[in-house]
Amino acid sequence: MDRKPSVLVVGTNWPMETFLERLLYGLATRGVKITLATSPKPDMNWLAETGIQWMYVPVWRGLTLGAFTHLIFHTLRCWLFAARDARIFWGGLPDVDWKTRLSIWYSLIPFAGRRWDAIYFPWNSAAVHYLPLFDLGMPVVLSCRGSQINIAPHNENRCSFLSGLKKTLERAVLVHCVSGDILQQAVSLGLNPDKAAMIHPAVDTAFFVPSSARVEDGIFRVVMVGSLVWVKGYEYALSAIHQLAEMNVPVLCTIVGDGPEQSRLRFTIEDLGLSEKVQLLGKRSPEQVREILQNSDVFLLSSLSEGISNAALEAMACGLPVVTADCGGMREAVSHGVEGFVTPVRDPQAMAKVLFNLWQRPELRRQLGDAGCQKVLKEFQLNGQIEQWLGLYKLVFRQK
Amino acid sequence: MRVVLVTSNFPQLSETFLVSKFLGLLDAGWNVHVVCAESDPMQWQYYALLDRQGIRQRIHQIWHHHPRWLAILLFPIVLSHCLLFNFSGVQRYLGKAVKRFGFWGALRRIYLDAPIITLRPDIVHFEFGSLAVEQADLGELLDCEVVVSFRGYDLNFAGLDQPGYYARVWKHADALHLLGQDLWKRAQSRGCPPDKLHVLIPPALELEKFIPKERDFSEPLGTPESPLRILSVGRLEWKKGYEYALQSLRMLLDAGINCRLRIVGAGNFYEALVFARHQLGLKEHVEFLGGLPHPRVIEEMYETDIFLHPSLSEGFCNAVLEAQAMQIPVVCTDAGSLPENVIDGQTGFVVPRRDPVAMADKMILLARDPSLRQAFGKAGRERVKQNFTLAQQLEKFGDFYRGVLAE
Repeated sequence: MDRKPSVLVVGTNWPMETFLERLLYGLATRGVKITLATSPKPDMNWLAETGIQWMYVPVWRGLTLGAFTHLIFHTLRCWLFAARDARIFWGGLPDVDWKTRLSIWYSLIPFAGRRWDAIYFPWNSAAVHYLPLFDLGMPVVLSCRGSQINIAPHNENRCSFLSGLKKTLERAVLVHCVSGDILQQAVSLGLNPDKAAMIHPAVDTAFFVPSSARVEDGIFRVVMVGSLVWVKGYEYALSAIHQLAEMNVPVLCTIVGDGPEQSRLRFTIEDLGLSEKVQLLGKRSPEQVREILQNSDVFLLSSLSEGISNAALEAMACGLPVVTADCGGMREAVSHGVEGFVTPVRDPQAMAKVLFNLWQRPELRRQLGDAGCQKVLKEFQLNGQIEQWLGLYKLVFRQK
Repeated sequence: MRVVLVTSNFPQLSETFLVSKFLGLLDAGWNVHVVCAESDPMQWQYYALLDRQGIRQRIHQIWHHHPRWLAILLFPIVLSHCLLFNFSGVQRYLGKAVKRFGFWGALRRIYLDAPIITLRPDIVHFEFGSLAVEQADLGELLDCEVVVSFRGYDLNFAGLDQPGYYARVWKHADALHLLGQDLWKRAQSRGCPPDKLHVLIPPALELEKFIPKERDFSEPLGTPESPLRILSVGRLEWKKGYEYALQSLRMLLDAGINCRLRIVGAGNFYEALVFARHQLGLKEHVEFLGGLPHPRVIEEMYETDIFLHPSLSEGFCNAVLEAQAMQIPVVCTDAGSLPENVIDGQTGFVVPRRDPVAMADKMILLARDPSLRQAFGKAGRERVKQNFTLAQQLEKFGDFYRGVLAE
């Protein structure tokens, strides 16, 4: 191929998740021409630095004057220059009420009449929303990362999402899964294993590094990082911390992240009498997260379901032993007794037991932490991941 | 004496107790009105009693304040309506309000308070603490007594992140009503002076509406032929603790007790619970029935052996009271005033919050011992009869209102 292959990325937000930002950056600097379609305008410096192009896609917020202008302009443009695409979009709209149809149409029309070598959906929900884009004849790649594969399908109130999800899995030329577990779940939803590819998430190991600066102050510091949502099972972690406190362990649990369940956490902390033992820090920058990790003793993950936790991998890169609930692909990162411990989901007793063990044995913490760090360096490296992705895209471009 | 009950939505299925109280006070000879922010016509169908003559005229909706231009257009009409019904009251109100909130502030307030001003109340009773935060000083503006009820959410959650959220209520309200001792303690921990005039009146129910059916107590339950039938009633929210209930169900099944759980209620925690059901392998054993009208809930209670209430935070809980009236043994947590509601070891079992093992243990005990279920059931109904009938509750409210007026 003499020209750069081009990829359209649809369905992200700005600011973007760090792992996506790194992936796109890596691909862009290795010769893939990336167009990023978002509604908020990304940071211009970042765009200039990476050479990534930006394309505006509007989000429907009711029929405002701006929306009306956009709608008329693009509908006219479609009609004049991309009538075929417009017909395809119109025919591909899901059978729902006209308001939803209008909102989907509204976000689709900017894409009419434009072509890339591939389309990439980093999230299943985006692929479902933009389903008619599959009809334009461009190969589609999508990622399966977590709750949209292993939680949403169980909710029968979301059957329209489920049917859309199945269609996208069927029609994508390549489906990326973040863990072997997610891959299995996706296969059980109808994904053909031949076109599935598992690439673990990666950690920037130049950024997340162990530090020897940790001052020994006699306090057992447990850290948790993740958005405050029910899937993360924080209540069970708090129960475990409560049990540790009952056993007179001088524990301090730090929770980094923001989300809709903040009031639930606050209530539980208060209710368990843990105001002195648990601190909610809210959202923090990657630099701050690194500093907090480097000053902690153990990383705790109480999730009920996961794809595979980036936060846990980052903690491992910083040399922390990980105590994780046995869910999703976590066993692919942590083997019981090697890089940390794996406890059953919804089991605070088991969590408290291994935490207590780790508190008593600093030497064991160091040993597990080192093993985790080695594991990330070996298997969850950013460079390796981007090479794998490039390999995948080459396959897709060749097929085309 | 004219009493105005202030609430947000009337009538409402989950707040049936307000309808009972309203009608009961009317029957007892009080001149009662209801002022509410919303009134959903869909909800009226559940309340045949409200179709009684002259009832609808006693239910007043506050004037719309969204969109703002509509409020501005309506303002002259609202003001003249107030003046027509309570000329001297409006004069007095404006005089005090302008001093307090400034001219525009006073106009805004009179628009919001208009339906109450028009009614010339002797007592204004805010049925939920959070409703009174803005309007607690109404008593001084209108020369009436202000009473505020606290029922659970308002003290357990509302405004926790704002210190002094209820300071104006503690200062201006003439008296407080709380459902139980636990809430009174919480009120004090949130700054209420301990000498504040208050009364504890628990929820109540009309015993005639809860007639248990004869049951067969001859054999243990939990066998393949006769599964242990468990019921929970309450909105699907994290604070109802259903995840722990599902875990305890898993333990029952693992202990060889065949059982099924039905959950009545709707809410935004549905997806988490459906996932828990899947994860714990309970698809065949747990059913979500959604929100149901009251008669349907009673029908469910006929088919129930244990009422399970795994709450993490609670006011007093009417559903648990209803289950006792229906002679169903209760297993509940010690959240809020539940220990005042159920007598541990007599009408049910009270277990620690977030403890599925304890929950499962008590349910196994009940499953295996028919005479215990029978005894708990009987004691439960007796307890409701002695302490929680609507007639008793209305009498207490009557005494309370008379006391407040006499102060």
